[in-house]
Amino acid sequence: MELPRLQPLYEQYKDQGFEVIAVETKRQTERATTFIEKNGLTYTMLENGEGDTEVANNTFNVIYHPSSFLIDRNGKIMYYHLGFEAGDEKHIEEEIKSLL
Amino acid sequence: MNQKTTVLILIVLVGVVGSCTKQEGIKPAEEAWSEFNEAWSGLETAADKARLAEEYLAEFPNTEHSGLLARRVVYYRGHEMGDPEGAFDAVYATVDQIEDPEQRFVASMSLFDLADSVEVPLDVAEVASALEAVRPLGYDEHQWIYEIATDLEEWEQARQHAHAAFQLATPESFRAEYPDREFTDEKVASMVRLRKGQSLAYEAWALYNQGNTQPAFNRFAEADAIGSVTYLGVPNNPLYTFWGRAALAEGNIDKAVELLGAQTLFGQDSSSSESYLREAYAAMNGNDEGFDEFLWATRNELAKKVDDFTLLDYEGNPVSLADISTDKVTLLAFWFPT
Repeated sequence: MELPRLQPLYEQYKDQGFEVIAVETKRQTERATTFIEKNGLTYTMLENGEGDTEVANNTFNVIYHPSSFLIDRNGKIMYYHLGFEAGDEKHIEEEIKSLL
Repeated sequence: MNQKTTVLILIVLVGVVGSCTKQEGIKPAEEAWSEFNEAWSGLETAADKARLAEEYLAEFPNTEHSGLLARRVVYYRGHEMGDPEGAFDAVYATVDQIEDPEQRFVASMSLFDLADSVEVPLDVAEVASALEAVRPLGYDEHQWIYEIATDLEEWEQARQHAHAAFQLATPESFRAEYPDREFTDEKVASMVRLRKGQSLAYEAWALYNQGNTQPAFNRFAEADAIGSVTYLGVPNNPLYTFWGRAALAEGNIDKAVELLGAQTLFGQDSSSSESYLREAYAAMNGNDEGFDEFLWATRNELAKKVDDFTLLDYEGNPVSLADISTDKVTLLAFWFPT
């Protein structure tokens, strides 16, 4: 239920240079595409790799889901966000605005 | 969607009532359970899910699904809908009717997840020992108990279960929990580090609150040395919040600012550490003037440059992080469909 909450933020701020990239870590292709379509998600959706191209675990050390990193225009990670409960989007919006 | 959901719920209700009148024993509950699952898969809103779980739980409080249903009510009504009192009432009414100690444990423990907003008239030590009387607890159960006991400031319970969890944080015990799954040694080692780091952090914090200051600081340092950290280099447990608060209370302000700063800026649970960081900053600075500027400057100084990667999109095109994020503000989220 978490990802759809990012869609309104994406639509509101994309013209100011805001992007969302969601990486599906478990390679559940069919379930993922169904979910994406059903919820009308239009930001960048990628599928995690396997072996050498696996990034969630090997590179980003993600243990808990959903885990989000907010990256500034210079490629620096300025915020980390674990989980995504009702109301979290307001907090994330403040963080996005502080970087735009 | 709403109309369809209502129809589905009605079908389930008719099914439940029908099978109750026709048969006795566990079978009607099982029939209703498969109908429940069918209806569940069509539900989308937290309100619909909470209602369906509550209906089943009220009708069949004593089944092998009671724990799961209690957790769903707590999650959907309590957290997602922001109605902890309603969730408490729905689950608490059934707890006494659950005979299976496993189910009763899960349902009782899930009530403590509402303890921030509702007074839970249960004793965490009693809930734990009721299941322990039947079988030894596993790692996750000890963890659940010590986290709850920490929230409730029941330090001896927290200490004992954190210690027991630490004892179970071994590769053998981790593999034994998942007999059907293959894990690389690397993955197991990282899970064991995660468990050791977390249970030691809680044990140390309980010790500190019991007045065992030096043993507590020794444990904090041990937990840190285990090196279970996130991509951003901060422990993936509340170690720095606990250790920082202890350092602050002992007057070691520099250490407190360092630990609480890392946790607040880049930790997994930053909301609870920020007020303590503010306190530590005020102790260092004389007052909390300039705190926001201090946070922002420290954030810029410590922020890590993200590693680039390339993955495929759902049309099979390779896309790199840099393709999308260069000169943009980018939210990179890791998820999976549940």
